[in-house]
Amino acid sequence: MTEQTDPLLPELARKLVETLGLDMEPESVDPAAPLIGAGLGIDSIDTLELVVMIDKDYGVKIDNRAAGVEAFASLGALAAFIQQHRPASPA
Amino acid sequence: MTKSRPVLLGWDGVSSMGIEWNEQWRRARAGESGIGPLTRFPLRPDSPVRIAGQVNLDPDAINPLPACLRPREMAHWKSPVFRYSMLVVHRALAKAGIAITPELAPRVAVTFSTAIGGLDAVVDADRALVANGSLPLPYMNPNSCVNMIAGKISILSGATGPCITTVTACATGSTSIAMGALLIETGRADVVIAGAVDFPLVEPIVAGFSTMNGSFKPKTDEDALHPGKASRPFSIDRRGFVISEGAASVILASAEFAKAHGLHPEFELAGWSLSSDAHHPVAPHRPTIARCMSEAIAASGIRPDAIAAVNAHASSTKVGDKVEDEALHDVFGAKVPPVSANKSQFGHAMGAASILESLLTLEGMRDGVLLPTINFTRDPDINLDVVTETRQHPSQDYVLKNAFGFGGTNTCLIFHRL
Repeated sequence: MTEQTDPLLPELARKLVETLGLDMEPESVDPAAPLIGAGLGIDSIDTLELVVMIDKDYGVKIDNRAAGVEAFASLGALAAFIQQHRPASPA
Repeated sequence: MTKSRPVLLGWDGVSSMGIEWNEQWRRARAGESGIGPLTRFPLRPDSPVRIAGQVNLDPDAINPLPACLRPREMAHWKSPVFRYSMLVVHRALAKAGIAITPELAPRVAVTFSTAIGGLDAVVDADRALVANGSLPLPYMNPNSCVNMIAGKISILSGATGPCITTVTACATGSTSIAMGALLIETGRADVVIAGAVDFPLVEPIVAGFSTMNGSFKPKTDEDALHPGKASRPFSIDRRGFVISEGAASVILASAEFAKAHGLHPEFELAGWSLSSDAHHPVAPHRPTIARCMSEAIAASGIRPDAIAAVNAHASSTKVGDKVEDEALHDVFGAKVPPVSANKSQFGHAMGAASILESLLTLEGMRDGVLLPTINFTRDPDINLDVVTETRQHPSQDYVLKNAFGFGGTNTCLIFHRL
């Protein structure tokens, strides 16, 4: 329930669509759907671009496989992961 | 001469003169210029270069947008070299009327090349790294990998034959045609996607051409006020080349392939030659340039007096144009055919210049005209029939195209109207 109302979701959806040039509106990204290898057509190289974007924009590193599996499970999971790991005082 | 000569099936280009090829050709015939203010990066107050020939490619203005240019396809390909090259190859293939089926794919080669490549991606990444420690995006290296453009064209087209990048600096586009011809003549390919792209409007590259006295330096207020009058090849007041962007592609095929597929090409590449100066890193060298022209003419099975016109390299530098003039006289004696210098209109698109100029040569042969060399004032030291106004010249069976590059690389092509 908290995922559905996460204020990060619209922002992340917009960045996802812009970074990867997805042919869809940010609002239509299903926050519960798998991010990788499913309907969005996001592949491993796209994921690398997202990892760099998340590090740059939120100061959150996704630098091991377990973190990747958790963070990219869905857009909602990614928002939760960022909220959980972002530095206490944003730069 | 039973060896298969390559024929030219279809072509397309983007340049400072426009995005649609027919429009560029119309403007060229009308004697217009594509040169304007340089806006690719913020100019410093003392920036020595303030004008350029820019390609104004707005994907939103292309309708319908080819699938290869959709945002999703281009998401990681930030350097404009990819947008420009994918568009011209897509269009050239369509005009050539060839479908690259799985059966044909192994016989289709790519020689489409670039001199500078996606260097802008490296410069942008380096500036971010130095300024704030930002690591590059994962696709920075693929963007700047010099043969990635050919690789992307292979993916776009499905071509699985030889895929090579024929970098010879400012002769790159012509060399891509010559190397494509080599693959066809030696039976290694039936179809070749040739061409070149360059995006040299990157701050250090632009400034570097200025400090080495290669690019145009304004001298008077008039120079600063009229960008379109800055590019003055063969003219007494020539002051270096105007740096431009551009891309163009031509589809080559063996004559047998064209015949077997019911195609009716208008042109063939009658002959070509490459030579190296072994002389100086950037200054041209008369004997090896002259030899390159002579060899291309001999390879075509004709005599010099069969050449109806010359599309010059015309670097627009003092030494470059003078040496080309001398070498032309070495080859043709007192009877040098009329000379056109398209850089006067388009600027110098680096590796893409000679492919754009080759396509303009073909259009001129088809329409029976020679393009003007604009901004020309006669130089008493240069004794050429420089075409200054669009000239009717109906019988152009054979035309010589010259291209010379840094590193002392020379490529000469002879186009033949069938």
